[in-house]
Amino acid sequence: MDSSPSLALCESAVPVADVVERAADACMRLTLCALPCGVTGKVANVLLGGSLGDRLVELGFTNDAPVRVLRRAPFGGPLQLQIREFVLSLRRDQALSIVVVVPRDDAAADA
Amino acid sequence: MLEVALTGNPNTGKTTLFNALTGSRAHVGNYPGITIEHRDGVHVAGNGTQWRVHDLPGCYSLTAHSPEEEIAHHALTGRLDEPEFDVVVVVLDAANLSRNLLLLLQIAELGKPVVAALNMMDAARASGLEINLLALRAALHCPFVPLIARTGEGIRALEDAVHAVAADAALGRVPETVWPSEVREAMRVAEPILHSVGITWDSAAGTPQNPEILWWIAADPEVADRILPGLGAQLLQALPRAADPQRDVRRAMTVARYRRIDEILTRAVRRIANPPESMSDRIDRVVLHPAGGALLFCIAMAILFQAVFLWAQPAIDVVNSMMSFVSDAMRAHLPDNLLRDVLIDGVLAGVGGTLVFLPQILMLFLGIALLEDTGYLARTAFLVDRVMARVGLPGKAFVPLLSSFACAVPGIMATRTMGDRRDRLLTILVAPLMSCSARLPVYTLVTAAVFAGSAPVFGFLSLGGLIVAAMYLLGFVLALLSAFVMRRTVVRGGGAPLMLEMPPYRWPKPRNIARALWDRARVFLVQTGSVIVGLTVVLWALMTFPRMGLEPVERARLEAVAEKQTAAGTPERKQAMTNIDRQDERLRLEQSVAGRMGKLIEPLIAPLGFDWRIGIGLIGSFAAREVLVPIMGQVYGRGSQADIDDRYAGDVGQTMANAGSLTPLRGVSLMVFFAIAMQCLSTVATVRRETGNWRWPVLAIVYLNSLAWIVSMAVYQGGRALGWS
Repeated sequence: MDSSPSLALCESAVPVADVVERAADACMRLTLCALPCGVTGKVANVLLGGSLGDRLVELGFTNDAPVRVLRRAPFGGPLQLQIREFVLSLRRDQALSIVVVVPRDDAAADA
Repeated sequence: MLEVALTGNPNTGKTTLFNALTGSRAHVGNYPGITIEHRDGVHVAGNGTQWRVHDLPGCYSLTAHSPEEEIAHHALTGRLDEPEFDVVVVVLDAANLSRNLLLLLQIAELGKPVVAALNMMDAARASGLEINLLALRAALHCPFVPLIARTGEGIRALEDAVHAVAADAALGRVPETVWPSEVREAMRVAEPILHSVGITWDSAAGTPQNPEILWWIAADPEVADRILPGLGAQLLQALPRAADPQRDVRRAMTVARYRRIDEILTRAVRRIANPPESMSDRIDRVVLHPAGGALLFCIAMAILFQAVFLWAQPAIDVVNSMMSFVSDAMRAHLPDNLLRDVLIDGVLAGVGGTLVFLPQILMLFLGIALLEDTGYLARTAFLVDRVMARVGLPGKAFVPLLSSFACAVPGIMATRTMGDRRDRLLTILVAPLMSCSARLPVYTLVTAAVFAGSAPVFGFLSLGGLIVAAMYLLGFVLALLSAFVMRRTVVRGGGAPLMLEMPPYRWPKPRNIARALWDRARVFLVQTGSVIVGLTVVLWALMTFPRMGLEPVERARLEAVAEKQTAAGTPERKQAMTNIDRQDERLRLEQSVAGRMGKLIEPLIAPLGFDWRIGIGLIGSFAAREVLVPIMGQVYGRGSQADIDDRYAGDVGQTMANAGSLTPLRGVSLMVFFAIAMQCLSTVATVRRETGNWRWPVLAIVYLNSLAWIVSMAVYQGGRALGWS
């Protein structure tokens, strides 16, 4: 399946090919920024180091935590997302550093 | 007296609980991160025990990523001037347990006896969660008390739990998390280092092995250094921090805590129903919609701007006429001496200069309080964050900057909702560039004098109106540029990452709003007002001393001439005498310190096209830019007038033009100068108050006035080079 429609939602500084790998047949990895609205993924990695990355982990972005994009602000603004039970907004560049895993069917259904 | 600390994540209802316990008038806001300072109050429990309740700042963790967390940590470990807390009550949002429990674990790791207050149980139940308190207690050992802080339900049970833990601290101990090997290794390495610098703990039985040690390992080296110079670097060197952020000790700790929390919650929390779509979700579908939300935002901001700019005007007029009534009355009833002058032109003018801002401040804060209390304010930051981020300002700066178009004083006060100190400083420093309403009389003076007769542009746009619009644009563009530059120089730092929690929508509570308004008004009147009055008196003295004016002989001669030329009792005689008074007044101003300073600075302002008479106006309008018009009125012998209306401004401008001081080019240069320069003592006083020291207001004065000089000069000299006048 072609994953570009969902990735086109975000003009990322990270090359798309680097981020998306077809890790396993059953699921795919993408950045949180590219996660389509309404699809629940699981956090796979927080690529950001330093205190900002630590802060994200403290807010609940630990591996396997469920995460879902609720909506995107206009003009390429922040994303509103639900991490665990908690609704939070992050800027796109922050969301780019979070890798999520989604069951392939879910992502395909939305894309 | 029991020393009880309240902590918790932002927006868990901690401050509501604090108010319910102490009846305090502490500010309650529906916006994450309201509580920055820490307050305390007294609570008398049902059995008569007295508590001193300390409201610590809301934070997500204790690792000190933010000033709030640093304060909370310092208070908990006795590094502030605080007594040792007997019990720490951790307020938890029942609908958001995992992230909330993280903080509880961190506090327990400091060796503090804790009581968990599970707030918003009703909301958790409504969203389909069933929480098993026994399972929570079985896993974490400390008391768990269900609570609805809003209604006060559960406070009695909280009292009992706090008393039990106060009597036996072991009841409030949380068993330590099982740490992975890299954390244990880090603890082993760090312990002797910490001991060697005198950070010790007593490992009482039943407490976590080494209270605080985990905090030291995880703390930001910068913060550790601030507490004990050199320690951060020493720890950093000793601790095995791998390059891979995933294996960082600090992260390993967080992950281990979350693993434990997830294990507990799978047993203690059951989802019995899917959460119904809440009212807030439904509202957000419209309010945060890419198109609809943007439109609604524009409408909301237009209404807010309208309210501050136009709807406050009648009240401002009332204040102005009240002030002129009082000053007339004082002039009529007090003996004519220096004391009367200092009372009227110094003190009363200062009081008036303070009060005149009150209507706009109240109107703006009414608007902001409504936005904040309903929950919309956090959403505005979400909507415009991207647009603002392009110049290095956060979305939260939007409302303060918009308000500054009416008046920078309330705008700067509105930055209090911003949280991050650097973002806030930056916003405060550029806010005075927004063309405020006090600049309008100056714009009117110039446009009425030199552009009134100009042919309309494109047949329907008045040239004067276009130039005024250009001034608004100029201020705005320069604000963005200045923000861009300062973000890279004086206020360096990436700014806070956006991590915005959206509070649920609520009906605003009149009590909260009245309280917020009262707090802001009081702070402004007392603290800013005293500075304004003081500085106004100084300025009055500069414009009054030395008291010279017409020589008595000269005055007598002039009066004799007037008496010869006009018949007694006629309007002509009266007019002639008034003219002599005005001449006297003008001469006095000219010979005063301010007048001499005007002459003195003439070489400095000549490149901008201003003569010394305008110089007096510039010195005078350092206090408040709107006084330029009455000062010019005095200087050019048009008399001064307490209420400045457009006709008067135009009149003065016309006189200046006739006297040759004002040409179209000089006029534009003057407008540009006023659009940029920091000429407002009230703003200076407010910046001083809100930033806590004189460094920032001085910086603002220097950079804004230099910028004003440079741009004005460029306009004037550029215009001249193009052959305009």
